[in-house]
Amino acid sequence: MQSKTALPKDTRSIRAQAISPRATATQAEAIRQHSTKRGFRWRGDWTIALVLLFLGFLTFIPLIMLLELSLKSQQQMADAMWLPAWPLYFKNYAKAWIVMQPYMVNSLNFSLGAVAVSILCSTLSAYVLARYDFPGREFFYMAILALLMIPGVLTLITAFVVTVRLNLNNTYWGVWLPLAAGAQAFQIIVLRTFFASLPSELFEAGRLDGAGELTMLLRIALPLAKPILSTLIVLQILNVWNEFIWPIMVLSDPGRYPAILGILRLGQLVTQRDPGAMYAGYVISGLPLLLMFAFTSRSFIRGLTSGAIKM
Amino acid sequence: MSAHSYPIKPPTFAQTMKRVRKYWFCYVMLLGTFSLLLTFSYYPALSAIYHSFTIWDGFRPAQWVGLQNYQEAFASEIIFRKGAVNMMLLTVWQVVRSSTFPLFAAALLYRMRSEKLAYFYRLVFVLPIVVPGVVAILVWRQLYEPNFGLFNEILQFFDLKPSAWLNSPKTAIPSLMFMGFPWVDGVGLLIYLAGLLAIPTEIIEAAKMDGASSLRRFFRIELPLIIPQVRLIVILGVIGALQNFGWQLLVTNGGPNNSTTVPAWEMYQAAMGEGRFGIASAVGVVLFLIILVLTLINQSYIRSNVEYQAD
Amino acid sequence: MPLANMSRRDLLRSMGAAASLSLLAACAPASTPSGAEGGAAPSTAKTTILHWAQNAEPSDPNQELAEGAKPRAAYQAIADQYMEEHPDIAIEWYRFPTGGNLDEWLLARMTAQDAPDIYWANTENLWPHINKNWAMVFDDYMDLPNPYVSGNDAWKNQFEEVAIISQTGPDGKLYGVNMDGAGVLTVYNKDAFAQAGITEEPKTWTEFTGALQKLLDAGFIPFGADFSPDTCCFPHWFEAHIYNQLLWDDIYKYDDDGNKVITARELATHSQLGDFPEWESYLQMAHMLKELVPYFPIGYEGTVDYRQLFRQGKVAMYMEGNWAISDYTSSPPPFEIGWLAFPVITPDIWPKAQSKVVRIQGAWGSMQYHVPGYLPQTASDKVGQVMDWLMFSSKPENVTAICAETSMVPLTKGATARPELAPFSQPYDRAVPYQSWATLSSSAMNAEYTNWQAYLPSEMSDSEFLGMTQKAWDAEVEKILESNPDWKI
Repeated sequence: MQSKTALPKDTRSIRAQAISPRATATQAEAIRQHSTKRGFRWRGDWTIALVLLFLGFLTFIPLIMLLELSLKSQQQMADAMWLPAWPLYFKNYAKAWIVMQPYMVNSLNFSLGAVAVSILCSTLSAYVLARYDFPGREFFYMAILALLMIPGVLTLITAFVVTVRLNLNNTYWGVWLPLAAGAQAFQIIVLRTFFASLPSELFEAGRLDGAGELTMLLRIALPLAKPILSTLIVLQILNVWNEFIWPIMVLSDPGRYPAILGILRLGQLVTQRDPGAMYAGYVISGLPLLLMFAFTSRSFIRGLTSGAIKM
Repeated sequence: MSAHSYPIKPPTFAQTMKRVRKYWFCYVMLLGTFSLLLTFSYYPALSAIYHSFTIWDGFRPAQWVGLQNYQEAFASEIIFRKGAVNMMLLTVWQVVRSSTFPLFAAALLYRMRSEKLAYFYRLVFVLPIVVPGVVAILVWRQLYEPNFGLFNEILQFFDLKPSAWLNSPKTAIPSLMFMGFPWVDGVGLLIYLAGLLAIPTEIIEAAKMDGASSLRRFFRIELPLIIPQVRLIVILGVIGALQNFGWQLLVTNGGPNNSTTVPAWEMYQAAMGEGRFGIASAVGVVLFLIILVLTLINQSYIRSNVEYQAD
Repeated sequence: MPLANMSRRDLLRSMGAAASLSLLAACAPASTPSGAEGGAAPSTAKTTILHWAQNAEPSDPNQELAEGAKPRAAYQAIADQYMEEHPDIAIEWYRFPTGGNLDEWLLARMTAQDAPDIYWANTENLWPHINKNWAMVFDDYMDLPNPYVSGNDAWKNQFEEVAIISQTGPDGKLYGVNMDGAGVLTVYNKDAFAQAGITEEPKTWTEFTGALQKLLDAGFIPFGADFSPDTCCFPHWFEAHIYNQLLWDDIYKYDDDGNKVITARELATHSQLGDFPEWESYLQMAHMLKELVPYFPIGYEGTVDYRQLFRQGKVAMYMEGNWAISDYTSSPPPFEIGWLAFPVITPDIWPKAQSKVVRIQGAWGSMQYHVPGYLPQTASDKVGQVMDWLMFSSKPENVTAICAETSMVPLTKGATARPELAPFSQPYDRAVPYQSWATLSSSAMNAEYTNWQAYLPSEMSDSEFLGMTQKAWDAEVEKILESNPDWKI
């Protein structure tokens, strides 16, 4: 029976349209396309707004609790753990900051280094895997996909032994390189899809102008890839920030530990008398990420909503 | 389909070498990635596979024992029985929640007519991304604390019996599954939203004019057209959930009484806690095979099922 | 030269240059394994000794968290004094953020051979690894006289017997030095006891359970305990006290070499012979533990922060070590605290028990120091210097000063404990023979925790419980024999 909503038969062409760069509109344009021409209308949006508000509130409850606990002294916690209490006990932050401060720089260092190495390698690889039909291409791609399925712990000790043999223990490279290696698979998959979606006309035009392969990558493909790259960068920074198993193995000097291990040290120094300081430490460990996000959110979101992330 | 009735000859060696020479730079650009991967991923993985047939404490020379580790792993009541049940439960749950709740929120956002509200809500759901995963888990752990956590305080307020949540074998897994409520993950939300926004407006308008309800439009148009996004998130989710042991590491230690253990956690324990890398590698290899098989099934299932529908 | 005009040759050349540069950078180690931080090499080459002092570590400017805590300075003063006398040595503190994960750290450090020159480890966690040469043998130095203590003819004579025994490995050699120790008592809230109508400190098991019931009726959580491997340390402290009382003199049948201490190896031997654990007594212990379950906090099968609950006045008592005295002195809770000895089991409950007071008192202090086993090979000159520093640290007045801050019980003869440790000097009949609470390995302990998590909340029958426990125990023995094949009989 023919349904009332007759779908066009050839959805493939629609999908092709959908992923072409012309349709890779920025978030703003896309939303504008879908909102009515008369500006915003409240009616009909009411229910949606309420439901989303409820969901958003639920999502934020743990964060609000975290903030609340971080501003309480031991006595305030004993009286009523979860209700807000006055006066706000900012001393927790002072205490936590003193402990966390040296570790924060390390986290930053590890994140930036790992990201730099990783993005460099994955961009180059994804580009050639997407655009050129060279012998062994499928093989290389499958090999990379297979990596995703190897459980991390399986290679932990053996990778550590390799790191020691290369004399990379307790060095920055010993942290950057393995973390970069771990991020390759996901980044290459996403970037390859993206580069493959770029229309070949762009590159043909460049070739006519006499550009070499590298130039085409740098001058044509990369600028278009900025949003997706910033998304991948942000995601990887988040991952590296959370990583604590590898640093504790590779780094013998505790002064080089990242912030996440600083939290552990907070737990050690703080006895049960200062649980608030521990929560303050959690908040502090997340602040650089918040800052980074504030600056990159537009690109980050644009990258995610460019429609390039799919399989 | 073109009328090819005679077989296509495979390329000769000379032809292949010609193409290799033509695309020489591809191999150079792949060099970065593959030197990283060979050193820190492939070699360690192969070494670990080798060690799965040995008894090895990570330090002294390994001792070949053939299939003994695999026998022990499968004979154990915990690793691949209790642990596998938990792993499947958590994985299925991961798939369900990563493909429904963010999708639901994305669909709602998509329907919102007011541009400003849509921006605001998008920000609301995206902001929690910056909280490091570790911190979020630790905060939830505090919420669940049986003696002074928020949930039990609420129960006691209503004169209900407090629960042990994560601390009792019966309630541990459900409590774990509930963590992260309402499960609207910012990254997933944006990816789905991108897919939805990429649908050309003409189709939606046509459906609206035909009188299709909101729900109908969702299931018959929007959902089929964002299958690529769903597929990526489901596949990555499955791969991640099968190897994940972060909850066990940070919260439950696999307990109480092995009620929350998964093979990946048993692998980590065997390696780090007991220093038995042989059996840890064996468990890891089996886990890898499970992930491989499930991913292949996943890929073909989603593709065949949905493409049929879309046509 | 703009990229577009670069010839293929130039491109290759530049990429090759970049690649080799990064390879060079990658191969350069960032610092020497002994962690000599601090820039330019001075003209008089200083040897740095990196010392992980654990709890004895002096405060660095980044410390000073807890309310009312005073900065720790004792060990720094000692180090300064030593450095004055030995200008060619620099003592640096290895500030390790402990918290679980010690096993993988230890493995990583020994593999990479970049551990601190002196590291801390609870000896019962070290025995399974002694055969991997992770700890250096101390015997040669222990037989030398300590030049810093007048009248001393051999370093080892400076320490209490318990300290020497704790460092004795399965092969009879000494693997570290142990300068202070710990005791365990039950700390209790005196106000809560008064409120519950408990007038006298409970001494026997019956009095103890009676007191628990009174506390429960008065609305407290009578006893703070949990069965998570993350929390220190109720289950095996409890076991140590009870098991010793239940077996009493029979405990020494496991002591093959007659040194009054039961080592992991002896346990492994007797497990293979089949007479350890003594299952009847083990079952009795399980029953007694189950008696206490109604008095535990909710969720005791997992992790419960009962120390915080105690400070909040909700939990009335819990088992604690003497190191907590530092906290309780500098930041007292809003009620008065007291210390109870572990209840005595009378013969009417268990015939073999003899109403004896058993105490955990021994060598689990902050100053349990070991030296990596590879150090004699990689830096043989340093070994003598490290030992000299340790000898200096072990001067009685130094140990007194450090223990005054850490609230540990000195195990060095001539050193005195701080006055607040008086409850720990109460007389007792026997100190738990070191390692006798069935600690084959930390993995065995974890397996036991899992068994308790299964047994205590359930209605499991005795035979089911024993079956489960015996099976788990056999598996753990298998594992330890895998790691120490020479322990097989």
